[in-house]
Amino acid sequence: MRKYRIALGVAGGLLLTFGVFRLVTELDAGDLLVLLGWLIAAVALHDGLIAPITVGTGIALAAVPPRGRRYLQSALLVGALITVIAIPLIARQDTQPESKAILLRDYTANLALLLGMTAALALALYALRVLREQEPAGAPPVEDEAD
Amino acid sequence: MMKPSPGPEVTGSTGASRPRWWPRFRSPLRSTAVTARLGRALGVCFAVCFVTGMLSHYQYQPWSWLPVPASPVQAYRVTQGLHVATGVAAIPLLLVKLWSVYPNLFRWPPIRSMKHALERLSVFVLVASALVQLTTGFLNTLNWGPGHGRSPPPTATSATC
Amino acid sequence: MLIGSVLLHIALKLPDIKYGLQARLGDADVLTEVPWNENPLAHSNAGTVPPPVMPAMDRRGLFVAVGSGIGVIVLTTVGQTVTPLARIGLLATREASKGPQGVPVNKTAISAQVLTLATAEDWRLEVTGTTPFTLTLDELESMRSVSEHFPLSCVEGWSVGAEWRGIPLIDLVRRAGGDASSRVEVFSLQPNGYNHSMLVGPQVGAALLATHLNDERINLDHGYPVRLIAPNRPGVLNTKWLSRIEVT
Repeated sequence: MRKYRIALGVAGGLLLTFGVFRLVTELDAGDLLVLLGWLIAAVALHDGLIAPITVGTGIALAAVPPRGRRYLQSALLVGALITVIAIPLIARQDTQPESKAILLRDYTANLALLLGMTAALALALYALRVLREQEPAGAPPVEDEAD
Repeated sequence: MMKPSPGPEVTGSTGASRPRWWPRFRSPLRSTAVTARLGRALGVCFAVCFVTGMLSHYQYQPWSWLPVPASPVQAYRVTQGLHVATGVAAIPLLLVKLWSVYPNLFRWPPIRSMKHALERLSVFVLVASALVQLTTGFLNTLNWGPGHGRSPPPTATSATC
Repeated sequence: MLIGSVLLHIALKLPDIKYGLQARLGDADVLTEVPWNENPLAHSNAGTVPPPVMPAMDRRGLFVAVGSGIGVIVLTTVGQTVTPLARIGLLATREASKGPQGVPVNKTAISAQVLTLATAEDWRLEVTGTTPFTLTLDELESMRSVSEHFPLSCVEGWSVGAEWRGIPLIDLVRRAGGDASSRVEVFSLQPNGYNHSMLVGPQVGAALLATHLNDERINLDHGYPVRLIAPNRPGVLNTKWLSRIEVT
């Protein structure tokens, strides 16, 4: 394993140096500052805002009974991932010349449709589980560990 | 992502001296096993995206002894489609992977040694460049050019398709 | 730079990756702010301990949810290049069918500032080489033309198959004194931006100077009076609004 680590590390270090060298030689000082700003802002935005919101949501969800919580968690996770991709599309919708045939769809409605389908599927799966647990002939219901 | 489970209180050898207000993470969902699997998927996406990106980049200035073939006719359509599809898929994957290692941001003490500081700097470079590269790449496909900060020179914004 | 730091990261984290991939998903260590290999109570250090309790979503469920989310995203975006999926392309950016003549445009004639130049009476195609010559639009259009089905594939990840009709580039290259091994550079009327491109090797023999797109005279946004189209070539390098061809 040590050999692989050294080989990977050296290759990575060289590529990284090459990348930084290319940036420094091909961009002027102004662009480099903008890039640096973007890099720092991206990390600050993620670590300072997106991640805490996710963690906070997780803590808040602990109030939901465990039987339904997993469906809620799954639906929220799927929905959040789709929303991340959809937001820039919504922001750019209908801003370009028509002949480009770009961003002509109603992304707000499409996002609502996808979120609705996600919620419906999660609800259906939850309902299925509740029904199965109520079946007298079926196996004894899965016991949820106390929270 | 959930209320702490009633497991044993985690008091590691290095974590014992943390101030009381220091964030603590106990979601059992997070695990090195989870992170490694997410990382493997993300690594595959990055690799495909990188190789197809290089193939595309090569078309701009091919060497005369290694010209770009004219067949298969659809080859570029497939490689560039893969480039954008893996890039888009990498965005949610990266976010989930970062969630899975978020506690590492709060290691105590924040910096232990020069080696540790360099390691954390390399993680900053990695996370920052991954976030920025994927974001600007995705925005470019929406013709939303920040105009700055992409390492491969030809940005899609000025493409004349 | 990104790939470099990825490799470096893999190198630094290789022991963690190895442990993580070998550990079973359900009972592997919980990742906290204390690294697993320094945590005396971690499963891997404390011997056999019961797996962490996950009353709601478990780790497998996490992967199912993440996989579903990404699956939905990929399926609803790739319709811009995988045409059969265009109908479910709820989050796809381009709609090929809505483009003029069935093909989207990235740079319009107006934004490229070629409107007057491309429609001018005195438009000429200049071909340089050992035997240079100049063609009027009538002369160009009266040359032998062929039809080919090539996709237009943009660097932005959208693509669409189309029927192109035009003059084989190689006919003009030969007339200028070159052959299939020549290096050909084509130039646009477009004053700036990606206004020229270079062809070498097999693409010289396969390229067309397209005058027709999907059985119509190619329109201004697609490169009227004539554009380059070659197979397996990024759209941006299929230069539009041609004015000059250099054969060397």
